[in-house]
Parts: sequence; C-alpha cells; structure tokens
Amino acid sequence: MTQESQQTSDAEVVAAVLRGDKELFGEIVKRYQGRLVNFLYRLLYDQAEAHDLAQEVFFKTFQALDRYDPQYKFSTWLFRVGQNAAIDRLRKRRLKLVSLDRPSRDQDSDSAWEFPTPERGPYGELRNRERGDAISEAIRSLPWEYRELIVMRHYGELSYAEIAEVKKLPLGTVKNKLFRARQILKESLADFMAD
Amino acid sequence: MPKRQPKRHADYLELVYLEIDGELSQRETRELNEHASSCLECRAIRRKMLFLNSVLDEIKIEAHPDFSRRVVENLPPAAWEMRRPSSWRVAAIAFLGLFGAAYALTFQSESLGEALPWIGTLAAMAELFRSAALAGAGLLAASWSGVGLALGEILSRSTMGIVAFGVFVLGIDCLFLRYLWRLSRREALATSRQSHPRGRSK
Repeated sequence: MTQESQQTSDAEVVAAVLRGDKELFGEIVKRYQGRLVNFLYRLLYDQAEAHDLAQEVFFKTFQALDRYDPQYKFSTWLFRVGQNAAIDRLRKRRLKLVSLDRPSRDQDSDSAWEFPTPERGPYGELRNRERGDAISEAIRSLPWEYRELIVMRHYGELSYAEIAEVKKLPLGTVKNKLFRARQILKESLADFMAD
Repeated sequence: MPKRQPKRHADYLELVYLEIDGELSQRETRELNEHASSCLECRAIRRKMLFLNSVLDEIKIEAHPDFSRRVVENLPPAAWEMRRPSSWRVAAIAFLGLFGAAYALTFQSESLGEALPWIGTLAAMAELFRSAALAGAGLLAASWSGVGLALGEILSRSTMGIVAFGVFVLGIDCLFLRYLWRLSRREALATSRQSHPRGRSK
C-alpha cells in the first residue's frame, strides 16, 4: 500500500467513525500503535507509561476527531498530540522530582500494563543487550531538539516533510538537525560502529 | 537553461544521510552509487550510517498485544457523538411516524375497524394521544391569551407601564443580539481550529 493510499484510507476511516462506526477507530489504533508507543517510549523511557500515554493520545484524538482536517495527514496530527502529551508528562515528572514528599513511581503508578520480563540468553544475546543499552543511552543523552527529531524519524517513522509539519520547522532545518543528531550518535556509538 | 553545478564531496555526504531515510530519488541514488564506487570516505560513512540505522531499529519495542482492544473498549464519549445528525433524524422520523399513525387511526378507523377488529383498540389509543395533544395546545393558547390580557391591562393603566414595557423589549433585543454575536464568534473560532487542527503548538 502506498503512503498516499494509506493517507486516503485514514481519512476514510475517520469519516466512517464520525458517521457512527465507533469500532472502526480500532483500525486507526492498530495502524499507529507501534509507532506511537515506540516514539513515546524513547522520550519517556518507561514502557508502561508510554502505553498509558499512547492510550491517552488516542482518546484525545478520538474526542477531537470532528476537528480533523482530511487535507492534512492523520499521522502528523496524532504525533503532534503525542509530542505535546510527552512534554506535559516530562514536565509533571520534573515537578514530582522537586517535590520533597513525592511518592515513588511504584507506589502511585496505576498502570494496568503487564509486560513479560525478558529472559537472560546466551552470550550473543547479552552482547546485543549491551549494545541495545548503549544505543538507548546515546539517544537519551542527545540534546532535546535532536532527540525529539531522531525519535520522530526512527521510532515514529515520520518522513522529513511530516516532521517539518509536526514541528513547524523548515524542511532544511529538519534535515540539518537530523544530520547533526546522527553525527552525535555516530560519535557516541563509535565502539560499536567499528564492528 | 542554467547548467547544473557538479556535486562536491560534501554534497554526496548529504546524500548518504538522505539515503538512509529513504528520501533519495532514483537519479540521486545512481549518482551516489557512482561516486561511492570511487570514494573510500563516502563508502565508509555510508556503511557506518546504514549500520547505525539498523542498530537504531534493533531497540524497537512491541505495543502490548491487547493495546488496540483496550483503547477501543475504553474510548471516552466525544462531544461530536452527541451532535451527530443521525440522533435527531431518528427522533424526527419516530415522531412523524407516530403522528402519521395516530392521524390515520383516528380518521380512518371506521373503515379499517371493520376489516381488522384490533384496530379499534389502537384507534382508542390514538384518540387518547390526539386528545392529549389538543389539550396541550389549548393550554398553550390559553396561557398566551392570559399573557396578552395582562399586557393589555398594564399598558392601558399608565405611561410608565408603556415605558417599562419598552425597556423590557429593548433588553430582550440586546440579549438576543449578544447571543447572535457569541454564536458567530464561536463559529469563527471553530473554522480557524479546523484549518489548524493540530492541538497546541509547542
């Protein structure tokens, strides 16, 4: 399926949901859940929180579905809502950190998501895990403006034009920032790049 | 037609980055391949970038298998669902249907009653419905007539009464104009939101 026809389909699905077929919203969720959860996870670094927030983002878009303009891509709208929600969540997290009597995340978390614990594997898997940790850490230590863009590109799977639309930046700026972000990642992961 | 400038080494490096994002045209890919075949540095960077791209994909996570089901099951009510035209259409059709049935049963019941005996019961119910509607209309007419009489009494008594009534009417007009102004403002806001539906800007 081409991106263009996928876009048309999104608009058609939204129109059908607005006509009253609420269950069809599940189709939209299935289409974007992987990309949105990954995008939020790479900003929040908490799997359960990323799922909670992705759910919230889908709820918000559902409630504002009548304001969606089909001449724009649904993905850019969804990721803009997701990006704002992640920024809000990180801001709240920072506020909690400065609060003296804050409860720990384990105590106040009411997340209902349960994930299987990854099993320890043979040496090869351990090595992959080490590399995975290093990549995660490299992304995490990127300056926010680069991190956001690299996460949108790789985990949100947005094109340059979509990122430019979400971030309201010129296309050239998006390209330059992604270029710079990759340079930093390349340097941070130099040990693994020699493989 | 201006002659195209030949690409510099730095331009090809930029193409390497565009390539890993799948943003290269066929012509650009061909150009990059030609250049990379003779440029050791571009080849090395291209290999590293492709590798970086693949390792970034390695750490992707899967969405919870129940995710979409849970989202759909817990969807909150949306304001647009209440405004959907189908809800008032159903009500209007039901009302018209009932009204039509009541009318037919009331005025055609004699001829129908002979053919179908149970029609009589339905006709009685329809008569009840019609009487209730007529009683309601009568009450409404009576109350309007009462308001008219009271107004006539007030206006005929003194000039102050007429002035007070004028002020009252003006007040009502002002409230109505204010309502219309708010309505048009809300519509203008909704239109501007539709043109830029992407939530808040950063």
